[in-house]
Amino acid sequence: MNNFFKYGKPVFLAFLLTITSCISTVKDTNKTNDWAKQFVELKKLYQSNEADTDVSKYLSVFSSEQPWRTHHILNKIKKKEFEKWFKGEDNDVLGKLQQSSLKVIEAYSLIFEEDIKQTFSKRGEENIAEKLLLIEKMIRFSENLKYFNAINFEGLEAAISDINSKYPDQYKSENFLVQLEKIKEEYNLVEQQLLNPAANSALDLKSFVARFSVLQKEALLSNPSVNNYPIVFVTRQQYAPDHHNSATLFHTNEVNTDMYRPGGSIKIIDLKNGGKITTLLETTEGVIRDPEISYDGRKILFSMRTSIEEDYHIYEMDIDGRNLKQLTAATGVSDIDPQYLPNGEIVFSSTREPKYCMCNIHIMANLFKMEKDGANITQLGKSSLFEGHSSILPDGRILYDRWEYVDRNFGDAQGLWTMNPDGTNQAIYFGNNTNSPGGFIDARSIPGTDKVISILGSCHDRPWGALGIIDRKKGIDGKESVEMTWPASAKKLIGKGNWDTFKRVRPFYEDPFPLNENYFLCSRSIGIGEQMGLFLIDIFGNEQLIYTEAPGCYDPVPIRARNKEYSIQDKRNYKSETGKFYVQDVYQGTHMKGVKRGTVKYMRVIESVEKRSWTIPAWNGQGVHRPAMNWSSFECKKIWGTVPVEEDGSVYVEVPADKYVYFQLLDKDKMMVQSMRSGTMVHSGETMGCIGCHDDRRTAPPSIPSQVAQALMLPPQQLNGWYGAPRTFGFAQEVQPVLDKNCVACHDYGKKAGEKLILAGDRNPFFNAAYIDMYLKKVIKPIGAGPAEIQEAYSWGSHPSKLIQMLQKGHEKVTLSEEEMERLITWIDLNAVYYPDFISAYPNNTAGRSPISQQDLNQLGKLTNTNFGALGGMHRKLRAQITFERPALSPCLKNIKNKNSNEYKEALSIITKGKIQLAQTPRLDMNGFIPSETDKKRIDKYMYRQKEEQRNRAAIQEGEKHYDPEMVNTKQQ
Amino acid sequence: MKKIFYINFLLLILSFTACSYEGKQTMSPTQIVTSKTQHKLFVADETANCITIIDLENATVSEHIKLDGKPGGLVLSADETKLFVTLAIPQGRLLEIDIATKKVTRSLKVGHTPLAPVITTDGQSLYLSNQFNNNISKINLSSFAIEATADADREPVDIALAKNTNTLFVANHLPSGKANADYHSAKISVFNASTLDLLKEIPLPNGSNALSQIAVSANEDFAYVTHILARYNVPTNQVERGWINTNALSIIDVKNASYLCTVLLDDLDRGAANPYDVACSADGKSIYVSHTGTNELSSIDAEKLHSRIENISKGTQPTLYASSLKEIQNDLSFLQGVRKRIDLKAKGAKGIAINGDQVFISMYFSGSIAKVDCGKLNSVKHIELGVQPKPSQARLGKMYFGDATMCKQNWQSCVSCHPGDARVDGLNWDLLNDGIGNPKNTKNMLLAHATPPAMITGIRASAKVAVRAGIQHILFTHQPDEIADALDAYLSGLTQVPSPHLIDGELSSAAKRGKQLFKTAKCVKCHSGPYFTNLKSYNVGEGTGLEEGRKFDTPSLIESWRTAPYLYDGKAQNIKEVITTYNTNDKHGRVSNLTSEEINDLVAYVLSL
Repeated sequence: MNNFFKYGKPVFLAFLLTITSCISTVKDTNKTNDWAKQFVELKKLYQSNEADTDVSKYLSVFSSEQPWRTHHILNKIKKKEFEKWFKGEDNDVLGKLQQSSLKVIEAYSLIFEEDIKQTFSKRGEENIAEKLLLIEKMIRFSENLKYFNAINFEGLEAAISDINSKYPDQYKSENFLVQLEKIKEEYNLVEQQLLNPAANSALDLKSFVARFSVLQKEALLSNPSVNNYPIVFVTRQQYAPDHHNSATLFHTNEVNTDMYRPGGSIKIIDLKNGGKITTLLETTEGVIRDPEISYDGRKILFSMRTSIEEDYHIYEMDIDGRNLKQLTAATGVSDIDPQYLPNGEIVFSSTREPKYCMCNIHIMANLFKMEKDGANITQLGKSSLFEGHSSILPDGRILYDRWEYVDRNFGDAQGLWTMNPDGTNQAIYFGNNTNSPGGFIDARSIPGTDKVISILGSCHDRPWGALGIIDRKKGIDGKESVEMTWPASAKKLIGKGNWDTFKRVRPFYEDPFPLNENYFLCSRSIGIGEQMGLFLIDIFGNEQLIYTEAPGCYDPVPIRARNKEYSIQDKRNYKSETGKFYVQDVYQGTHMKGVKRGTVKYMRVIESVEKRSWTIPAWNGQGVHRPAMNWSSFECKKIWGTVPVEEDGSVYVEVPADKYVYFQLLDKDKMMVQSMRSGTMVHSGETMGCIGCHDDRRTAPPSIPSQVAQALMLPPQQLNGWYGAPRTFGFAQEVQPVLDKNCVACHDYGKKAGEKLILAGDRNPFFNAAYIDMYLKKVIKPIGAGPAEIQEAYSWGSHPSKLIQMLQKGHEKVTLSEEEMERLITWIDLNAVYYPDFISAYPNNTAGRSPISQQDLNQLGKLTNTNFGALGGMHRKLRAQITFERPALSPCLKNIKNKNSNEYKEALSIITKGKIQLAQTPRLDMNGFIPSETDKKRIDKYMYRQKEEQRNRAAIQEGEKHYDPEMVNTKQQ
Repeated sequence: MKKIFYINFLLLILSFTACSYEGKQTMSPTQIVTSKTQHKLFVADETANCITIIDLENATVSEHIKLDGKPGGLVLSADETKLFVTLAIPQGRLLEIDIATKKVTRSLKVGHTPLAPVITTDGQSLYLSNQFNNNISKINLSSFAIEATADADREPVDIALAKNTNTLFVANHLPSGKANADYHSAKISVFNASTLDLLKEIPLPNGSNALSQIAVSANEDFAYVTHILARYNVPTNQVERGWINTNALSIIDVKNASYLCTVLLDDLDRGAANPYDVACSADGKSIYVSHTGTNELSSIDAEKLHSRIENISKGTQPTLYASSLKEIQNDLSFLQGVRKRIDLKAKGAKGIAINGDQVFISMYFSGSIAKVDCGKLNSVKHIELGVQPKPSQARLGKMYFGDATMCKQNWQSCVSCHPGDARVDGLNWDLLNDGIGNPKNTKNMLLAHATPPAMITGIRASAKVAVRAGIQHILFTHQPDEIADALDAYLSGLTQVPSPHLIDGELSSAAKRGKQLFKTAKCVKCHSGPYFTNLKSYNVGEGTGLEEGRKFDTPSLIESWRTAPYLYDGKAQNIKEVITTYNTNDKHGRVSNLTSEEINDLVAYVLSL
């Protein structure tokens, strides 16, 4: 399908004139008079062919050659209508185009009255070209008009005087101000002239706007802060639309490899030298991305993929394009977003820990660092999804965007985080609990301020969106802290709608690079399809195109030497054992309202385990689970242990290194009081501390009435699992036995209590009966994939769970042992999870879990008049319909009245087939599970990468160097 | 490296631009006063031992008044004909200088290290603080004699006079009391200005220390005092989160002589370390604070600040974090929109003087006076005091010791815990070098290099090792060797300050008796040699909790008169407690058979060292 129709909604008008003046001057010379003819020819060509030929094909040929017209004329009306016109079924399309153009220019339409009469009085097709040209003229006029109306003298004037105050010797502000004064005078004249039908208004308007644009361009681009240095940038196609803004890798041997769009280059523009363009490196099959300049201004660091068969590796070369050197080369690994660190090392994002996003099947990346020659690559971040776009704050911390979710929804869980260059001291920076925008992406520190500029993007979009300046002094979430946005209108979308609200923003901005506190480079859409141009934007409201070329320009970075940021000392020992974590006082901080001192007795350390494999068939939770994991949330949990919280609220615990863990506070009954709903980690050798739970990162710790927290006066607590060694949590393994022993005698099929609630463990294609019923009957209160905001204490989990309340009150003669009760409670507090891993025995069957095939399930559905498709998600209405353990008790069979019928027998035999299948190949919720072959392959790759990581860490410890083994095969140029 | 270049560069510039002054004396301007009638600045210089007079008309040095010792503070008489200067030396003096003749007209012997002369409007009386006598004196300027002396708390370093209420607000540099107490903080002492009766002691938030300067607003509604607000309850790895030493301005309600609140001068990710001086503009609109650690000037909008504080006390300030006056002291974004930070582009910001629309800040290490235009805060100019000679390694070390720009996010410098020429802050800190949860009292850096090993636990083999570990684990940074070497040079070159317990430089008779007891009680067994330590570790039974049974390094007793509290966790408020209360089974000196008088003699001796 043609992407112009999908994405190119014509809304770029306000900013378009910059383009019309730049682009049209280039292209018009050759094609102005031809395009309408070309279009007419196209129509004739189409009509001469067979009737069922695809119209889109012709339009797509046209749009690639005439992007401006495609965008502004073809998209004015619906594609279907154009198809009709193309096919000769509707002759009034041009009339509609004319109408819509007239609407825009309102009072000024009288200017075109005469022309309209002339062209449209002629019937027939022979003067289509003439009509189209008139329509183009009207559209241009309307755009000129919009631009005219939007002319911002104040903004330009403010910028000129600001530049002058900074560079009084280098900048010719007087020239510009004189010209500006002249243009201001003309403005009123032109405005009056426009309504004079006798005058050639469109031309007047165009030339006026063009003159203003020339002045604007000259005044803004002779700003020494932008033109004193050449700017490096890349050209490439915009990443194909895919699952999430982090899906830009199109990794080999992964689900979206064939979405890879090759072609591009790395170039330099020198504004001092008349905007001279130098190409450093070009590729037709590859993609070049993410350039950065070394501190001495002499080297370019970037990521490049040479073809669809290869993945991205990190390269470095001199700024003249010489001495290209490959730094990384791991097979089946994408290395992107490299960034120089002040200690001489390089941080980058990589898929070296091959794992997948939990709400789909896309490979994810974490931050890694390496020495400057590519040696000793080691993992910095372990958060369970994506870590990208690192930049360095003046204080030496790495600022990056992190997509993570623990017991919360997928869409808006992308905020800005910081860590030290050795991966220690991971902390939230901004926006992780803001529901919209879906992601704060690609932030950089603004020199001379405490602020950053960031993309305000969407979840299901490319890594673009609005831009915003964030001052987190005003809060670490929400609208208040976003000082200004580009476009200005985007500000009102903050906090509104959901994770995709920012898809509405036009134009799109990407790759912000702050030059100083007032001026920023970025790449921005220019209104022609998805083409991006390099822009200089400023806080005065000016947005000046610097340069554009097809298919698009990205990543502008000035080539200049700069000071190194602060250098923070290392704390890791690289032994991959443990680190320590303390909390000063769990009662400190927000969202502990109503929790009395003394309530919290324990802290539980839980790991949110990474997803190492996936299936295509899915369960629809709050987002897709591939394979089915839980009713609503996405994760797999592992309890590392539970440690006491001291009287004063302090905890001190030794935590395994390199694990993505979170903490829950428990009361005397080991019931959850509050949960973190985000993750953290310690590196080996690191001691990390928090003041309280959900402590406000803008405050220093309050004084406590003792010299040190109680917990710190003892050695760190050891984690010792949970009723056995630490293991991932499976409902069938950990909880079902409690139900079997205490509940199933009544709550079973054929029993009266079973009509209310089935607690039997009979497996069905998705989970088991008890699991489905407890969710359907709402006797538990997990938060599922809950909202972005931090939740109040006691608001979810075992405390508000009906099941637990009833059992505590006393239910019939049920008496649960302490352990049995704790198993139920803990399961609910773990967000009522089901499967203990993302691997599967049945990757090709329904939900990735069913022992019987989709075909069999369809047949069973027909026979029993049951829509199994509708049962494949958390919105299902029906209770469990199949029991593989006791096929004859399967509720769906009730739909077949005649138990002796062939239908009944066939249905029963399908279910029985499942029973036999499960006995042969046990599922993950059974003993004896064996992963599928695909899982094994993915796990093997994971394990290989883990070994490489250990080799690198050993090398760091020994003071040696270990490189990607594939490096020996790369030819150093 | 960068910093060295910077300084050298600065010196180079100075050598070209400044006029020379008596050869090659290093200049270290501290306090400044302005003469409005003569349009002059009088600058006290701590290493050139002089008062430098700057003519503001042409912004040049016009004259120097040479002194016999280092000036501590200075004040002009109301008619601006006389300048009173204290000599901050053990045998402290107050000098009266005739401005016309530049001659010392009268000289008065006062206490140990006199500072902060303040004069009454009628010109009758002058107040000063004797830092190491822990007291203040009132001088009758007619008779030029001490009229009264009164005890402050510990190391009074600045005095502010509130004329309307006839009260003196005295900033005590350090906390007194036990370091392991629930509350441990330096105070403001309030005196009746006529009688020197102690009216009140105003406690500041827990952890307040290194109080520096205090100033009263033009309308005398408020007094402002600069200090560090130490978060000593949390382990020191929390510097990573931007704390440990936060930098504060406490506000006192003058009329009621009561504490109002404490405002943090730091930003969220950027400390404003080591606030030194504070000055209020005559129009009441601005408060200026100099930051020695970051070489900055804070310009605070006083009206906005107080309306914000008022809104918080009324509960009408919804968008900020702090929701009560008490929470302000923890709010790192409280000053947003209220304060501007100005980089003074030279090293060692200290004393402030305001003259009309101009603010002058002395730059201790650069040897210049920064001039900031109130209307145009970003333009900083410098008046050079002369040709600053190339700094010695020790002087560079002193500069690095106070340089918070070396620390991650500029939160603190070495001085933050070792104020007063690398001495002590009186607090216990939980450094991670010996595990967590076992805070230790700050040690004096005097003789640290001469008495290995270092740290109370002796965990670092030498002070050199400790200096390098401190850069890594307290400042959280890598620095080139030159910096650590310079720090070594500075610290090993520190000189002992004579004890205020000496009488004319000699042991008192009690101390003489104590000297004998020091031997007989076997103190000398471990506290032996020139530095009163045999450099070995012992378990004298003081350890409790995680430290029970632990051996500790024998500390030097030199300057123990100024290093209270004592023992590894500062549990002993004074030396007497060390040898009695916390001396179980005579393990820390055989004193159980001594009379109480003998104990006092022994204490007197130790405090005289």
